[in-house]
Amino acid sequence: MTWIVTLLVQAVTSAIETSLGGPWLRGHVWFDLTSGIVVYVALFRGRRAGAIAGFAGGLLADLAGPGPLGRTSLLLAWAGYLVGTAGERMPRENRLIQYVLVVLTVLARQVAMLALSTGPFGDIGPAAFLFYALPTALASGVAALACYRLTAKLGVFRVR
Amino acid sequence: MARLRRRFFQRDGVLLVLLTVLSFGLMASGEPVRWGVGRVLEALLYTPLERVIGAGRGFWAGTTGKRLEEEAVRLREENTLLAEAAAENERLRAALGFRQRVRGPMIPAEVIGRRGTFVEPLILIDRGRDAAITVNMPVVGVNGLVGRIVETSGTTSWVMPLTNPACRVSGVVRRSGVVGIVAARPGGALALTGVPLLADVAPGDLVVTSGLGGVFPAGWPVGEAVAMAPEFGGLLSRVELRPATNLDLLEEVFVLRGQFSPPDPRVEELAPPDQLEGAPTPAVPPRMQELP
Repeated sequence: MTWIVTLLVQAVTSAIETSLGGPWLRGHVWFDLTSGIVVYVALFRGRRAGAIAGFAGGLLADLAGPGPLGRTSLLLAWAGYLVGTAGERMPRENRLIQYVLVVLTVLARQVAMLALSTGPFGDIGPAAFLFYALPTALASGVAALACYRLTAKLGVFRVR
Repeated sequence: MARLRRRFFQRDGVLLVLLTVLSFGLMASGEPVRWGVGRVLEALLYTPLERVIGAGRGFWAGTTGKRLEEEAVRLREENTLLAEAAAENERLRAALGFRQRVRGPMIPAEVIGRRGTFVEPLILIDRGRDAAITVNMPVVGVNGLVGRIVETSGTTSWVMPLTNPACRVSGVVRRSGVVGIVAARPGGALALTGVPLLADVAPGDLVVTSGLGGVFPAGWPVGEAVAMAPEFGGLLSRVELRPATNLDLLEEVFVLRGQFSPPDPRVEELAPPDQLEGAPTPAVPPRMQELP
């Protein structure tokens, strides 16, 4: 049942990101909710669930974007697995730790995408990282924490 | 270290390896796999979701007064009938003027059917091989590029519109010359993808076909830039476009063949070179002279 809920949440998140992803914030900053959900599932349902949630969320993100299929799936599956493994040794209820994990996951996704992408990178440099990737990660962390509080109140996932 | 490695790659590690192999397999696969996965996900997730939303809308309409809704529908139908004549007149006038502007042979056709959801929309027109239409011919409307021919029969042809994910066009921002690939976005929208992050693109910029690739002629309007957005997971940008042609309302199209000129108003004001005073007599094109 948890898998179905996870997939549905990822599907709805993907639909929201697809339709609202661009104009949410000015400039190039956006909320990476998919990564936030992967971190949440990995922390509270374990690394196996985190890996599957990451794969599913990444697949939907790949379908919505122009990149090759499987690229984000690979990255988020590994991110979910690593965060789940780290969550076993950390106080996962701590909000600072949750925030840091989301920020690191989003940053890792941005940097890894840069490494794996095959398109032209003429204008990408430190400025793009500072003004795009970093603000996106920080904003995603804030959005993820807000969603976590809401999800905790709704009781969607039980802590394993 | 070894203990940590064992702990990390216990039995869950098998799942991770499996997902990794699957991801690499997906990366190595082509577009057909992407469409197949898209279709499956649409059938399993999005179509039920749309049905739920549709049912919710129906319930909402019922609660807000069925009589008022029926009355509104009746009045809307009357209004539509009255407006239809005026709109048709306007449309045909525009089409006539458009045809006079464009040089080169083209085949007028009417839209007689549609197929597919937002995943792979196709448009059926009432001209086919009998009218010398062949696959890959570009199709335009009064306001800009529509798509290309993908299948023909004797009397009909299927047009793959720009909103079909399989239809990619090389586009260029007319003002700044920024080049990208125009691709479909969910919901019938378009986007100029693969644009450098700091490219000079502003809302309102017109994106036209670049002519690269050899299928579509250069200079045909594709859409108007609405907003810049980051591409998912990448550090490039995509420019969200408002399509120049509303494909949902499309009724008349023109299939281009042979040599044609883009509908550039500056070009329209000039007389053809062979009609200018003192113009030299057209010679055999150099490329043809080189041929044996």
